[in-house]
Amino acid sequence: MKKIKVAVKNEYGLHARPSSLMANLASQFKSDIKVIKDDNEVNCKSIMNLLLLAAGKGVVLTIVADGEDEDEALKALRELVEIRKFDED
Amino acid sequence: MDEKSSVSSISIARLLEIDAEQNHSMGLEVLSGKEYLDKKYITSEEINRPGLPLAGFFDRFANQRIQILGRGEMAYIEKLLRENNKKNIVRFFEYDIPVCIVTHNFDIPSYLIEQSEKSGIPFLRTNLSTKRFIAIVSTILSELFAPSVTIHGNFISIYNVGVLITGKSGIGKSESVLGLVERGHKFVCDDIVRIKKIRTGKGVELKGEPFHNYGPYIEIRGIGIINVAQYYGEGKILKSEKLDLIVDLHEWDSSYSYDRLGIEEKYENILGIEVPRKEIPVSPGRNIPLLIEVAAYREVMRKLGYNSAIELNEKIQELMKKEKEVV
Repeated sequence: MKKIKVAVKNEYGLHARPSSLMANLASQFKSDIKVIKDDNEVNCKSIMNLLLLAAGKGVVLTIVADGEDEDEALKALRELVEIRKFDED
Repeated sequence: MDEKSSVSSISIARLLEIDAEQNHSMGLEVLSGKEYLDKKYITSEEINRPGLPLAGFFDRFANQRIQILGRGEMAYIEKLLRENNKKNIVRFFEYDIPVCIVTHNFDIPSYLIEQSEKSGIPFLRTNLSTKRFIAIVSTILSELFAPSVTIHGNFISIYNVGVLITGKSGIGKSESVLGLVERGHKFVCDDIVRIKKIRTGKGVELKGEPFHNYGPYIEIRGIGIINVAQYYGEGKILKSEKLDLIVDLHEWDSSYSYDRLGIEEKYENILGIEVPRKEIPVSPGRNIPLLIEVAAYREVMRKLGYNSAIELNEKIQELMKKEKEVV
């Protein structure tokens, strides 16, 4: 099990389109992936779960991956959230 | 998909049959030329009122169209006959005309009947007014001559939302249709659908109808062929419905990204018209008739301006804004 922290950097935060990108990306990995914001832990492969976190710009999320491809999963998710900023902005 | 006009020509006899089959009540009686009814063909959906030719002006005379003689034309013909000036009438009947139709149940001068018989042009009479008759005959002809395509798929009406179900053979299209009929929706056709582009008062729309007239048969693998009307009742059958939505059934492919939000719409172009299209992946445990039904409801909501995904997204963004202000 591995854990990383990522900051939401795009202007509109984790709204519908970014949530769908993130869930689709996470779904490509075999590992169990969870996202934690404050006390809420949700499934990273579910669009609705991610959306309901209501993570705006500046929020720091913890992503936890557990499984054979956990390293690749975390690397890909970090790139999507912090570097590509969900292809927005 | 092969685009063409549904028909390129139609005989007068067939026009009368269609009138009887579909209860248009054109109120036509054949006064002369009965033997020519199946030899004379209409090739244009337009009609003509031959005022100008009767007055002697034959340039650009649209003789291939149905010729309608209304109050004005008949009064003029009577005037010509009173004055014994038959030149234009004789010339009129020399043209290759598919059919002459007199409206208002007018009495026809015997001279006209003689001329039409001589030239082999069927002469018909209706009890309707000219305006009413033209409206009815135009509707029938524009449907017949409408551009159309045939598509491999099933067609069903879900609360007046016409849904075309497409997908590979064996994916369960017919089974889904049966499920939908069982849920109270109306069957239009199985396996092959004719989609027509129809001009209506509101603009252009697409309409789906059976490709053949044999009846509402459906083929279910493992059961055989079923007559839906016999099994589920005539009330479950519709002759046609406008096309509102295409549902494409896919074998579940985990590498394909299906629409999970429903914010962006996908469309497919049929005969130049964009039709909303939903791809639904099929896998064990998914109740396909239910999903198709929901897709149809969603289409109704979308037309009314509701979109659940956009609605939820707006709420979340509102919440994120508020949290930001607190921080």
